[in-house]
Amino acid sequence: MKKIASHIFTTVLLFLACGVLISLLLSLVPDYERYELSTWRRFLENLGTFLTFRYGDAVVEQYPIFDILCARGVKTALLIAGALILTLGISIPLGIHAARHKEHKRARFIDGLIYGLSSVPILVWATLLLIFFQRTMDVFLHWQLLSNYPLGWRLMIYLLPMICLALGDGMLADMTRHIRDEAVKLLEQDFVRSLRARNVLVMPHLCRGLIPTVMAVIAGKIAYLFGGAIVVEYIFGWQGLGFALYGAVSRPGSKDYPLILAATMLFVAAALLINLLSSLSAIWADPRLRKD
Amino acid sequence: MPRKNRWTIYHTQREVSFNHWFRQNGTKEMVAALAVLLLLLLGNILVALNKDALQNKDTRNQPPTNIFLQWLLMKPSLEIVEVTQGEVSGIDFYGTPGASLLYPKAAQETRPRPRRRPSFTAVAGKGYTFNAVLKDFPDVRYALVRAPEGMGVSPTGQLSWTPKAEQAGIYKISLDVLPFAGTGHRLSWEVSVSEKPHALGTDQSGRDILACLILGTQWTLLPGLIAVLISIPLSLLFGGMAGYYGGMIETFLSHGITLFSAMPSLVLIFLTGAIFNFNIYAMMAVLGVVLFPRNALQIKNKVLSLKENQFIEAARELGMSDRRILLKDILWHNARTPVLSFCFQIMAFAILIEVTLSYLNLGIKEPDVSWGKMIFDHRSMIQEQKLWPLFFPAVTIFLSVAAFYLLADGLNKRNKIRGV
Repeated sequence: MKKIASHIFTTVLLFLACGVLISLLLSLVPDYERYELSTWRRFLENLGTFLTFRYGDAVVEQYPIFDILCARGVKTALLIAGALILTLGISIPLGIHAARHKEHKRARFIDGLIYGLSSVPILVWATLLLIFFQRTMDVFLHWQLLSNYPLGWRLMIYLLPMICLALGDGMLADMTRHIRDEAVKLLEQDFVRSLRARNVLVMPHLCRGLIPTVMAVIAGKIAYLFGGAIVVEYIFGWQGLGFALYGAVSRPGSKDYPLILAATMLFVAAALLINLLSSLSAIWADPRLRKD
Repeated sequence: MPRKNRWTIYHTQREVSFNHWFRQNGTKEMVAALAVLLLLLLGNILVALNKDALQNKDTRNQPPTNIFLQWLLMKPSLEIVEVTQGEVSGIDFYGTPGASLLYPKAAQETRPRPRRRPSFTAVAGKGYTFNAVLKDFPDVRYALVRAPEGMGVSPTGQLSWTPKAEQAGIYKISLDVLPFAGTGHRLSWEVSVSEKPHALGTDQSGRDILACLILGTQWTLLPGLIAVLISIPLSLLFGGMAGYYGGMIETFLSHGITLFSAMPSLVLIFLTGAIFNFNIYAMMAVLGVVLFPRNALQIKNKVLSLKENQFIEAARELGMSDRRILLKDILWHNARTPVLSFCFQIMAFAILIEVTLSYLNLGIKEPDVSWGKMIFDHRSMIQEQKLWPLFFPAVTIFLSVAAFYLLADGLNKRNKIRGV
């Protein structure tokens, strides 16, 4: 109990620290519309906005920021959840397979293949896939053209960004290797041998043992996913939070400061929450960790 | 007897050593990756030697010279129209890779097609030829309807032309293939004539794609080195201290890792970019800072596992200082290969980030060329199906990022074999 409380306390402290850091960075960005204010003053203002949750209206879209976050956050969440499901759906079976047949040629081949596929950047994946669909089937899969297409292509428009996000930037390879290494460690332990001696199925125990690993992998990768979502949303015109954030940062002259702060803190909060869940799941799965 | 012996020993030793070296895990990957790195270095040297010559301009949007690459990366550009007594009756295109998906197979087979594809590029001063004989379409005469000056067609259907230097530009060619009775066919295509040959074509402002790719190499090594120079000393300092001494530094490091892994690194790089007016070197410095906790954690784990060994105890008994043990015995003698592999991973990540920023139009600015910016500039050409300005940079990015990852991977594999 004490351990759980300390985890929650640390998470809250880290959230506050992130808020302070982002406010500081934002106040260092030059503001051309209010140049009379000093950096220190603007830092205090940003900090006040962050702590009191009074974000007000976005500069460009002229809507309350909470509305924008809700409307666009759902789309980004859909994208990221889809990508996570795709990655985990591929990497967990492959990781367990590779752990069980460590020296097998096929397992090594699959490992190499995934490593090769995964070292392609998201941007290159997206460009090559768009080229492929345009070249062979003469369709341009872009979010803005969604209503022009029949159901199959619409599904593809939803699926393509998720595929890019799941495959690109070493996502899949990292997850598979992490899960494989952990599964190898688990399979070498004594309790697995005793389970085999008693002729009990090993798989359920293996899966339960892998839950904290999977959670830790997700927690480690979620920030990368948010970063990748910005790129993917820009390429495919997916009107999510990453697109809004990109628009706010790349705006010439004065930036859309409250939107940047709010969107980043939403990302950070989600990532920290998943981090907390991963440490709690480790405590749940391994009774040895419960001792103080 | 001794002579024979010496020979055999020499022979076996030599063979064993080379095979042993090449068959070690990871050697093949490292050799392949080092070849790519050598190319990158060569590109950097070329840019340093003559940057201006690489930016010469020629005919815009010229396709690659190779006919296979033209088929792969272009819209079906050969148009075949049915003509009866000078009237056009039906339009058809030839050369779509996905044609089998769109048209029934029988319809494709009944269409006449030329035995070879015409090339869509020509170079001034060099001969341009095309054999217009159609498959299963004998007894015909040939007539040029529309052609640039100096082009002629023989009675056997052999088209020949030598473009002059002042003829650079794009020309439309129409050629009628008519039987002595019945329906004939009109072939139409465009030929882009340039002053100099371009193996990979030119982009929309007329620069050679290959030259642009070479110009782009200058953003691969130097920015990555800056990120490495900031990230590695920081991670060695914090990781080594946290692993060796533990205590406060370890707690600080673990919280720092959680903090940085919760914040999207791209957003941090965006914000610092906004502070420094999107200067690529400043953003790479931030990348180094963002990546350091992750590497520090791994170095810490390495130091922790090495600290338990007996040779550390022996060194301590000999009266060596902590600093010497940490720096020389642990980090230099036992942890330098993993650190080198971190360096390559950071370099790969730096290329990735630079390309992404340039694609988002926040990185390299106009007069300079970057691979990501090439894709950004020509992204609307996907719909026109002029794909060569997109395809070649994409492949180059993939190759160079994969080379750095492979190098790191090969180093790790060799490392495990040696049991360090």
